[in-house]
Amino acid sequence: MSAAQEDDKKPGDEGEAQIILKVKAQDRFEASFRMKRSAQLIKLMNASCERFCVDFNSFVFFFDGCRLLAGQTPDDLDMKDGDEIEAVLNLRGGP
Amino acid sequence: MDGSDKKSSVDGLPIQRVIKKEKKNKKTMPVKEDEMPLKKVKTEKAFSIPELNDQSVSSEGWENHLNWEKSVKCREVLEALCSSVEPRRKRKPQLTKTQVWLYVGNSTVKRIITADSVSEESFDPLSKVDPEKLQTVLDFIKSDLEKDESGFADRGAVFYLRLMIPREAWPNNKYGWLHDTHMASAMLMLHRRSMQSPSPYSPRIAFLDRWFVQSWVNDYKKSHQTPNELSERYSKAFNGEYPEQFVTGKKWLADVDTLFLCHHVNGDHWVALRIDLVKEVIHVYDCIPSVLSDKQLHEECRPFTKMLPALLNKMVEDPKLKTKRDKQFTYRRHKKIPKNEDPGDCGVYSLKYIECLALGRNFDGLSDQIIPSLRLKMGADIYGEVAMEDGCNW
Repeated sequence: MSAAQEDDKKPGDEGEAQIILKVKAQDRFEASFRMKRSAQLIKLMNASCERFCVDFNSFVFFFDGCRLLAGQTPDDLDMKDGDEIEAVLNLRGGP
Repeated sequence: MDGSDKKSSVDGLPIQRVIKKEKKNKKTMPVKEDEMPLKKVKTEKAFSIPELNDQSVSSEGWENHLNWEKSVKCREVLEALCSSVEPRRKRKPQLTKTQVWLYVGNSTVKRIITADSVSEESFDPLSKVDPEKLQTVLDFIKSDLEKDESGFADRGAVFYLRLMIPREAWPNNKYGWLHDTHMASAMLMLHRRSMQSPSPYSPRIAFLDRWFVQSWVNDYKKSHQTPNELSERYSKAFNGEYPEQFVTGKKWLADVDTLFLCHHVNGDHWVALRIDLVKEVIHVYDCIPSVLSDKQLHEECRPFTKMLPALLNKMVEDPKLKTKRDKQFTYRRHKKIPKNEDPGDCGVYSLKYIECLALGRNFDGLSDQIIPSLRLKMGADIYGEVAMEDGCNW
């Protein structure tokens, strides 16, 4: 079942520094988001959970092998347009 | 589903409804429905990239997400936990020798007293929570819940509530199951303790990052890797240089004999692994033996039994240490260990097995009876030692 939905990229035309980031989950699901370079990545995290139809906090996000913190911004991490963020499922166990 | 299909064809219910449901499923992640409730898919214009402005992510999601956490019921549970904490009293200072008088010897020759041992009590894995630490984390939970947006993952109240709330107060029977984030934070805490000087643990052990372990298992599943295909990350991990937060500077085998890690098996269960690099044995500690048979659990450990020999073959240069490693590591499951008779706490058990083993102590005293107290201690310790130290403001 290939539910990967890759959105076409539109050039950022708003003038203010914006960035398009790709979020990839489990090597199969993708979504792109445009956001301000100075906005906190929590926005992207929440939107990704919503887009992938999973509960909030179901994913943990990595960029370049480093865990993303909600308060960081694309500017903090020197992210470039099209950079890929990996969403890893926050598994749980109990029985 | 089967029932509803049949019913619709017989009763002539709108077929559209059935199709719509299937379409929705296609868009969802392949996760167990009961584990992660699916959210409504927002209909968006085709080929547009959503822009994340301040309004685009409504706080509505957060409100729903924290429904229970913000409920009166949850507040009552928190209050009960708070009242269980002994009232704060002024601590009676207990000065160590060095604080009373800094020097040994007579007045002619003075030598500064050095600390020679670590307080055993502070690292006792089964001890009770420090009331002050508990109060601190409970204060954080309350203040986080009052915010418009709770912190994400291990920076939020939910992380601690799931870890610390006693079983009888869980809103559903999986609420307190530990997540990757819990295991990752706990392993980071143990790693940090191992890097302290002096450390409570032997210098020849290493704790593995939970996220590295997860990617290791995923790599194995993707392709049954051959030695040549092992990525640079493994070589760096072998040399104690990866991941960043877990850098030890110690090479496996030369400086490290034993690795500890948490392994997620069966899609819903935690077990603890102790890897003896010298004897090439993987010891498995599983607190609920009925979840997986020996054969199944052995199979779940293949990423390590198979990939470790390959990694060692690639990395070991010392001819003394280099032995023929074409066979897998041996798998050994330990059965005479404390068990989680009332399942739901395998994450806590797994972490405590690791802590006890790392300290070189046995598991005496570990049982379901003390799990509520261990959960409180773990939450308070993680909050104090790892989770919030990087100064992010939520």
